[in-house]
Amino acid sequence: MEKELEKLAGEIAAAVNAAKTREELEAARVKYLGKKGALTAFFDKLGSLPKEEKPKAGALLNTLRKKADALLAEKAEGLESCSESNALDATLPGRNFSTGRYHPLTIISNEAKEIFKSLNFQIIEGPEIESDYYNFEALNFPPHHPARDMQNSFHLGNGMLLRTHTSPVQVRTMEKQKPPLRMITIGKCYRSDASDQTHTPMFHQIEGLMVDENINFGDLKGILKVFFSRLFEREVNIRFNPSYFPFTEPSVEVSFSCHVCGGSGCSVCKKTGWIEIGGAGMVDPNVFKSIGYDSERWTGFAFGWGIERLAMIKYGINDIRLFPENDLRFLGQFE
Amino acid sequence: MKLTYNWLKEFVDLDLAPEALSAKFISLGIEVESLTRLGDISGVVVGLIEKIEAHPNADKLVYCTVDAGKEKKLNIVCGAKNMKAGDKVPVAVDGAELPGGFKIKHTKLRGLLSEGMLCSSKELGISEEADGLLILPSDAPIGKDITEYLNLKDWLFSLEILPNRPDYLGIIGVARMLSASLKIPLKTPEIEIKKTDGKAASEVKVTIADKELCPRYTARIIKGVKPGASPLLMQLRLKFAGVRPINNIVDVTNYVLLELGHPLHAFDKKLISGNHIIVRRAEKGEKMTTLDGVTRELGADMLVIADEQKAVALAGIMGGNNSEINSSTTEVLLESAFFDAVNIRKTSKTINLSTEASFRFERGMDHEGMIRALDRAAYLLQKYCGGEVCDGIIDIYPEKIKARKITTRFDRVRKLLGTDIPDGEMLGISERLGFKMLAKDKTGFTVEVPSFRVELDREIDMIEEIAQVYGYEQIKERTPLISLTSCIPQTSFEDEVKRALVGRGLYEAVNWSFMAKSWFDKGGFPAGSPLREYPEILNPLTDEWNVMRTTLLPGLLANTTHNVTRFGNRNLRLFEVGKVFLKDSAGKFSEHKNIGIIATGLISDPGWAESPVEADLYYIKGLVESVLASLRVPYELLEGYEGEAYDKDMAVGVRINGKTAGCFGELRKSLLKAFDIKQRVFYSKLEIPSMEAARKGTIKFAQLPKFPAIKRDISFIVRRNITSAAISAYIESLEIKLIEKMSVTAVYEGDNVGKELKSITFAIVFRSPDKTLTDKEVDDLNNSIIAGAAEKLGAVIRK
Repeated sequence: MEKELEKLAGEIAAAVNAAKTREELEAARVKYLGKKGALTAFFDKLGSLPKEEKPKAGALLNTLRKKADALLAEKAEGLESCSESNALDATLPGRNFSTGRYHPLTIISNEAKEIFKSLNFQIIEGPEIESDYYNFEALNFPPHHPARDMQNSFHLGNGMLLRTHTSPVQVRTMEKQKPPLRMITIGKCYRSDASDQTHTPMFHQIEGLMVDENINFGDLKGILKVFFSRLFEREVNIRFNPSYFPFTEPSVEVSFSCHVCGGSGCSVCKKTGWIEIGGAGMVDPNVFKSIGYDSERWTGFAFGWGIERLAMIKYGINDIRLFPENDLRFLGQFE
Repeated sequence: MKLTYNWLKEFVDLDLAPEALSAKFISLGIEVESLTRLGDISGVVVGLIEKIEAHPNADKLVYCTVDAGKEKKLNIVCGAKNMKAGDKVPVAVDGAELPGGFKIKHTKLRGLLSEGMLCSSKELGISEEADGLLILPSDAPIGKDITEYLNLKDWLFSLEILPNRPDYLGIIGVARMLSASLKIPLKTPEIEIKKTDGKAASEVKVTIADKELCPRYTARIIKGVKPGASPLLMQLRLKFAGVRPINNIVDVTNYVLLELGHPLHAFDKKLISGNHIIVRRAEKGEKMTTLDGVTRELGADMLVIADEQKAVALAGIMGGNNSEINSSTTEVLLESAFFDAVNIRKTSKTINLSTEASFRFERGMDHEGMIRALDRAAYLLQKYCGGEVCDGIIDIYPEKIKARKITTRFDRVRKLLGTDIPDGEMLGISERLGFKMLAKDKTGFTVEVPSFRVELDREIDMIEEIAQVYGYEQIKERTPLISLTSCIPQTSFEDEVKRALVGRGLYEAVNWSFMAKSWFDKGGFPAGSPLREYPEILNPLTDEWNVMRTTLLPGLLANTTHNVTRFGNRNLRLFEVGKVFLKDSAGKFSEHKNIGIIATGLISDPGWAESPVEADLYYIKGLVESVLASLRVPYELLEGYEGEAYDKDMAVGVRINGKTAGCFGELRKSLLKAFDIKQRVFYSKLEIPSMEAARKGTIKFAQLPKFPAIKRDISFIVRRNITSAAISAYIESLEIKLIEKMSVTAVYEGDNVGKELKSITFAIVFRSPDKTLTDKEVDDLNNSIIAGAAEKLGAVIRK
């Protein structure tokens, strides 16, 4: 009987091993361990054995039974993981991560803030409802001056208006702080101009101011070069063209060499090699005078331009009216 | 301002091509809005209309027989009315090409073949408005190419002139700057007035009654003028500049205005009663009809040109129709005056009338150059209108305007520009720009400012002049030395708020600060709603934007309508951080930075592996609470919040520092319906200043626990009106110190617990700071909770 059992053990191991599916494994189990299985048959025979052989045979049978169970279980586990990997469709999309989005104007504002923070500029905020004094007079726009026509304002009564630019924050900051100072401010501005592809009656501006001893026109060019080169991650050159703003003199229109073609001319810069961005200049002595700074000792520069314009240039957005629309198909693109 | 290349070349010897000139303008601070090639047409010739017949099939069309110098006469159908047989007009023959690539072919028009087109000046690209066919002089040679005949091959510059350069509002001013910058000679316009017998001074008397508002008034008298059409070239140039030709006399004044920049006015002298011009303020309520046919009531602060009986012109703005040049005019009083800029601007604003003249006067005119303008116009009246110019100028100039002087320090120029411009270069530039050198030494120089540069009077003005001509491209860039400041805030609270919300899967919106007053009615907000305390915009662009927003809701709702209703994107989670604006009862404005959050549809992007979850009150509550917690803002919630736009009992208030500073809940159905939204929408408002004021300092680290925790779940079966807060309050009332944390892990209502009952499962975590708890200790504590639950909550504990 010992020999027979040894042989059976070998058969069982081979059958289990050979099983390729759960069905085959189950068939093997039934064949040997089922009610009418080969191993079960030995258990049935146990009763007819002589009394003295019973304990030994019983022990042998039990060991074999345990072995067989273990073999089956191991094989079943193997088949299970195997069948699972067969069922996996790795081409199905992964699970969704519902990620949020910053508005593109926030993305650009944050990038600009980071650059100016690294240059040790403070970030200041100011009111959107302003007095005529801060929006115009202190910035050297005398009452009844045609320069006021450059910025049509919305009036709220009581001599208050919606600021037409962020420049009032310059005045408010200089009133509170003594030079030297470096600041930027970013915020909403309002002009009563009809909407078109490049204008909306509400828009965002970034404004900067630096006042110190010995600040000159060349410093303005230098700071702007640093800013635009960092923002567009490419060394750019700065071009100044004469312009006019009552609160700066000399006043300039600022362009930087095209970040796409590097200045050789492409469709982005309309073949000019330059991208016009905004205004800048040396702070007009009249502005210092209204603040009470000594314009012989302190000199400074200021600059400002539209955040929308920056975002349009950087991302190739062709219509400014997309910004306040908040279409998910638009917002979703700025991850 | 618009001018043509050839016209400009009459004032300066230019050898720059139009494109190069355009670049030069930009480098001089004159923005070129457009540069257009003119006469970009072919196949248009001079034609003679021989016969005009009615069109048999159309009342508004006629059928013309035209001699265009071809072998055969052309039959052309035409819709214009201003021509007669015998007129010469431009004819676009078969194959002609007009501006914009418009091609002319033989076409049947209402059944008749038209072998070409008779052209207006608009069709030839000369003017913006179509005012009938362009009638050519009778001596125009038939068949001649129109671009040759009219000298049309030219370039049109449209320039944007900044308010500080009124001198650029005449071609001469632009020419002067080009001359200085390019070092090329300036040409002065031709003026040759013939001597006549008449004496201006004996023809008319001029009195200035208000010398503040009119510091100088000059005039000339021209007799024997013959009104008619002005020369074609003059008409064309006026049209190019956007000025409508009227008659030869008026055209001359406009032509000189464009050339020399100084506004002029021609009166029919015979209509000036008493031959006396009086420059005075209008009387309050005085009426006059201006040339545009509008009768205007004047104010006492407005200046008029009057005769002894009536006002004949609104000074510096527009003439009166009672003294207008007309077909029987024979004598002209030509005015060239200098008016106070601020007064002209105020009047122009008050009566809402801006003209070529007022636009220039309000920017400041040249009180010397006005004489040359007067002479040039008189000369052209003599040349083109058959006029005889009376001898002498009437020049009333009560107080000579003093020339301005500026002293400039060489070192200051170099210091401010950061560029080593030599002394000599500065002197040379100043002289080329027309400044008269009064004195110079080693340290600087003093100049007299020419009268045409009205805006210059300070050293900084000279520095800018020098820098512009020297060239901004020569300014050396340098990075300034920046001293480091020790303490600059690195993040703003607003940035943190945005980060917290974006991190929770929301998209950021930026909406208009304006809204419509009518929004509150449409949305069903009661008359006394605090949301209606809006600042009103007195000059709104449209009624959609006539007040400032008092809440972020209108923008976010509009975004919902746009995305959900219009574009079918029903899952939307948006926030905005922005200001709202209020006006208090005293009329004082204030602005407040708020957060607005809107959620509707699924709370995460749907996919095959995720089970879809719809936004509900617990989504917005969880969002608000987790944002407040992450920003370290302590808060309390207050059920039964009313206000904003919620249904009753559908909103919760957020209290910060004892003050209501926010809310969240489900938006009113009636509001959503008004804005075309058919699904549930949840909204929250939070006030940033209150949050920022209440926030706790930096993150404080807590020691990690040394001993393990033991967790027990208890399911309380209670009546449905027992809240989870009541159960946690009960547990807290037992003051079991070893409870570290408890949370709700399941809520069940249904058959298994019976009607009007629900099961709420609390997971309670027990931990001691001093030792490892035994199961027995925890079971005892757990049992003490269970023990009182029946009495205090009427609860049954589910086993």
